[in-house]
Amino acid sequence: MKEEAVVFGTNTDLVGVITNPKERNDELPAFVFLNAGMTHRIGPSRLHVRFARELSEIGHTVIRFDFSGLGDSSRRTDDLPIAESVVRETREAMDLLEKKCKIKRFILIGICSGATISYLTSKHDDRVAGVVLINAQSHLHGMDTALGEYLREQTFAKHAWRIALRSSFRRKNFRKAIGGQLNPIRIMKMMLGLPMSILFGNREQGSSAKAHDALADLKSVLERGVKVYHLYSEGDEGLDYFNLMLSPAQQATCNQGNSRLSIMLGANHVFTVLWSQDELLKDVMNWTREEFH
Amino acid sequence: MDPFFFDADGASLFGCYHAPSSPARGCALVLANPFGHEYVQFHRVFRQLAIMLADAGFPVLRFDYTGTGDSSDDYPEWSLDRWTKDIEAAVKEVQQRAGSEKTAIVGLRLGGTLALDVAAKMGTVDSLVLWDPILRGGPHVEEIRAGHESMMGYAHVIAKPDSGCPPEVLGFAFPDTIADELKGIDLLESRGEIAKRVLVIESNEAEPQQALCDWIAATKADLTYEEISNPHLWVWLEDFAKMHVPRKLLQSIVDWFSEGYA
Repeated sequence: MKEEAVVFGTNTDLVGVITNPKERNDELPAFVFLNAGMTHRIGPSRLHVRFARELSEIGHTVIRFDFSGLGDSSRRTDDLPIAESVVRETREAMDLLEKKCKIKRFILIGICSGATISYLTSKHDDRVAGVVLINAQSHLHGMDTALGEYLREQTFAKHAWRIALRSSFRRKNFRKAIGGQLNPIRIMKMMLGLPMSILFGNREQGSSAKAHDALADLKSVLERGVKVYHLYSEGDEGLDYFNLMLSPAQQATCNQGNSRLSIMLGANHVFTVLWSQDELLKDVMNWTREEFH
Repeated sequence: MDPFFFDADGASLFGCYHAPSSPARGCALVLANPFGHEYVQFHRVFRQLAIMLADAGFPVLRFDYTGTGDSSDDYPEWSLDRWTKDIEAAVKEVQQRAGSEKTAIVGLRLGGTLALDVAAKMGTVDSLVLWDPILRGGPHVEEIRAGHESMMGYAHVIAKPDSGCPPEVLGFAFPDTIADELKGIDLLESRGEIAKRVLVIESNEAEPQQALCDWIAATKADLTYEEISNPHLWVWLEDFAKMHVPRKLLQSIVDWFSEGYA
């Protein structure tokens, strides 16, 4: 394995690190790791570095880079909206590997916002062979910001109810409540959000959310041959978004054909605890071997 | 800015060299990172500091210690001795790139502690910035372990004691070897001369730096002490989007260097 620093991009200086496998297999797609929120390209708890090195051991070339304005990368000098610049910069990372390493197929992987951008990019670029969407949120409803705001409120409320009543954290929540560690007003506000929105919520947005066919959205990606892996932590709000967008019956179809869904119990948004990092790595490596080797 | 890898005793260290964007001043700078989650949270802060210093005419090298950030290896290779040598290698690298004989080190938290050791060992470091350095390792280890316990209490995580993972704190392995080394830190131990000019920055009143200032004042160094309150900068955040850049504090570092190398 050999790592090299790269600077690329047409509008700005994007900084990245390419991990080259000792023996490259030209049949294998390269991985592109996208920033998780504001964390720079090493990922939360340096997860992206560990993943890149493990993936290179089984023959994959990997690039980890920072979007403009994050990590070591400069800000853009144009006025391109961020929703467009992140997709463009992801495609530029693929362009770089295509030119430099002659790789033509890619797997996009990211946590949180990195997952959302992976999914959005897969709709725009035929080179994307797979996406690993870890704790993805806000990816299945398009670019409607008003609808996004409505869904966000719904997600918060669903999250509070699920964590309180139906999660591995119930006992811990009880201890926190006894110990005075919970903010009862905040919790009540979050939990009341769901019934209140049903009774008095924005009906237009509610109808719009119901009318939006998230499964069709997902199928449009799958039908293009993209392998999609949704992976959620039990403690993450992204899972509630996913539950909001897809019914249980629809979710069952997410474990068929090119689509895979798994939920890691007892893990949080950024896989802080080491066992969850190990599990995540194992899951991604298994999926990669099964789908691409 | 030029990102690259350089060799440090067999390890491949990731560095970012910031060439001066205005006429170069006669001192090249190395930034020494904090450790663990503090490193992740301060990455952008250090980048901003490097840009500000380069704009003021200083060549600057940021880099990652062995087994951290983008550098080679992982936690089994962590040791304070190794990281001290990494800083020495970075000093040599920036001297070579900038063609400057004078060097300075800016160290934050554990980076400050290690920077002071390097300065005493090398004897050629001209200026030193110690930003909330860890004075005593024992309380520091207790503090980060308490932070981890607290996180385990409120975050949506479940412990699995039988997972076979090494001891951990706040997202990173924390093997006993590094914990024991950290516990041995006593920055107030006598070391002789460290640098001509020293800036001590205290941003958290819960960790006062007065004892360090008294110790430095007893050496021949020209000491400046700045208290700029930013007490929650390195508290672990699950919501990492809340990180912020302490502009006023960074500017005080740039001003101090600019005055010293007019």
